[in-house]
Amino acid sequence: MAKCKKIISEIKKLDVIVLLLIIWEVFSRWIYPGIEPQAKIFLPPPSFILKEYWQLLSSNILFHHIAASFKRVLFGFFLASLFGVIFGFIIGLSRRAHEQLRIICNIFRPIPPIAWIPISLLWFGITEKQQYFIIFIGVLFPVLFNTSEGVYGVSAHYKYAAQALGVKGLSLVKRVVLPAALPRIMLGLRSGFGYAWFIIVAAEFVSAPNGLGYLILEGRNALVTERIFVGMITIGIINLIFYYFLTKLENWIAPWKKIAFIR
Amino acid sequence: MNYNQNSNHNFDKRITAEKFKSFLLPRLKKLSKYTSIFIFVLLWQIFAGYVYPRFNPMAGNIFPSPIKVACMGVDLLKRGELLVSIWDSVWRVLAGFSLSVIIGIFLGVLMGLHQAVRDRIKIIIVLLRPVPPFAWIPLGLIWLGIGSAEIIMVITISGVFPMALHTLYGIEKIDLKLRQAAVSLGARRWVLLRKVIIPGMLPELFSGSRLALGFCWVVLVGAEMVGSVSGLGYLILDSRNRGLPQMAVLGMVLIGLAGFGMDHILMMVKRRLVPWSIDSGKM
Repeated sequence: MAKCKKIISEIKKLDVIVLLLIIWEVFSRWIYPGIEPQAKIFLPPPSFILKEYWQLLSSNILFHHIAASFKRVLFGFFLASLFGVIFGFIIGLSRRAHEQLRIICNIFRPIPPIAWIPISLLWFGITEKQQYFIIFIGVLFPVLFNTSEGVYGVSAHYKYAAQALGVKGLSLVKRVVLPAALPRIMLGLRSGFGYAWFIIVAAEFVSAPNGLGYLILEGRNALVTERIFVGMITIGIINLIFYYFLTKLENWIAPWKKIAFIR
Repeated sequence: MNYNQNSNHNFDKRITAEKFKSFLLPRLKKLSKYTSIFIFVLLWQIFAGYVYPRFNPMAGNIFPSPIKVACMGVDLLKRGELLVSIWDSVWRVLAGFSLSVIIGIFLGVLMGLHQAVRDRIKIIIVLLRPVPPFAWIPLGLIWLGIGSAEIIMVITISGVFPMALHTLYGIEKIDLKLRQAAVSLGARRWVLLRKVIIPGMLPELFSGSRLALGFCWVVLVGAEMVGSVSGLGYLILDSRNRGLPQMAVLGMVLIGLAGFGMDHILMMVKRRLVPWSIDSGKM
């Protein structure tokens, strides 16, 4: 019963969104075309967007684009997180390496991954490799930075206590440093994953034969504005789902630091 | 008299030497921190200028050396293109960023004032935030056409969400006890706002605006690459059309430096305004 009430109160929060959607529908279907003859291009009503969504979904085109983007994001993310976590550990564990390499990281970090697109096109051409590279660069720095900061910031008291009890070398890293740094590492991975979905759109704008970013740009070039909305909604939903599962995963792996899905 | 003067002179000398030492040593120490950068640039120059061309005769077209990049920078500076591009990018970011700060704080305060309003706006933000800001670019192009207005719109959208959420966190974070203490000591509305609520919110506001500024820079580059004919993002994309890879690298370096500089300025303002909060992830 209490759960039922909670769900009802959650649904009640959606009233403004429903109202906005109705206003949007009425406005862009009946009012706006009277003012502006090109209204359908500027702001298509939600029902048209739904129709386009259904068309793309039933003809499997949308699925094809999702799969293409997915492959790029996952592969780039996997490579970058592997690299980032390993190097982050190395940088974080040694004070001198931390001092020196952090500066190089800080030079590269403010350069947006998007800015790498033209030069990476020179290196790799219009290939899948180039897309992986852009995702890699984008994910690498959040993961590397958070891992090295997390490892570096592990309280010395923990380490001393463990050392006094005779823990040495690799088992010190495994038993003390890793658990203490884990929340920060997971934060890096989570933000890196969200970031990868942001970047893939821009990377696919410039050079890709398929993918959700391509779908969006195609919508603009063909002036089918519904298609832009379809792409945006799809990425939003995917991102939201993944964010949810990553927070679940994080709470499962590192239960000593609970985080909320929506803070 | 003479002796006195002499000793005075010696004393002065010693002081200047000490001054010089105290001036030089910390700076040298500071410089030694940057050895990795020097080594990095040196290796880059050796690799791009001398090693790589032996393997690949097209190396100059693929992997420009730092000297070439610097020459390109001087060349563009002479022609006046460089300053125009930097200025275009910077003012767009500043305009979009300040708009997003204003709108974000407004939304955040609105959310902080009333529970029902908070639930409604928060759901909209939670649903819209996972949509990549870049995905708004084509929509902006259709609505506003190619130009600064479209770019500023996209930048503003990218910055509003972190700003609004962090304003809300800031309001939620204010200690109720501090507020009650101030009220019981006779603080009225305006004094309460100025002495308790705003100082309590400021650290979160700054962390939100730092996030927003970072987003704004990233999105700016994308927006300028897709729909613009000026600015640093366009410079990078144009390098491809002109066949000048050193221009792309130059643009990347400049964007990195400008982003770094803006972040630095923001942190300086923060240290001035909120000296009591520790900045995490210090650059």
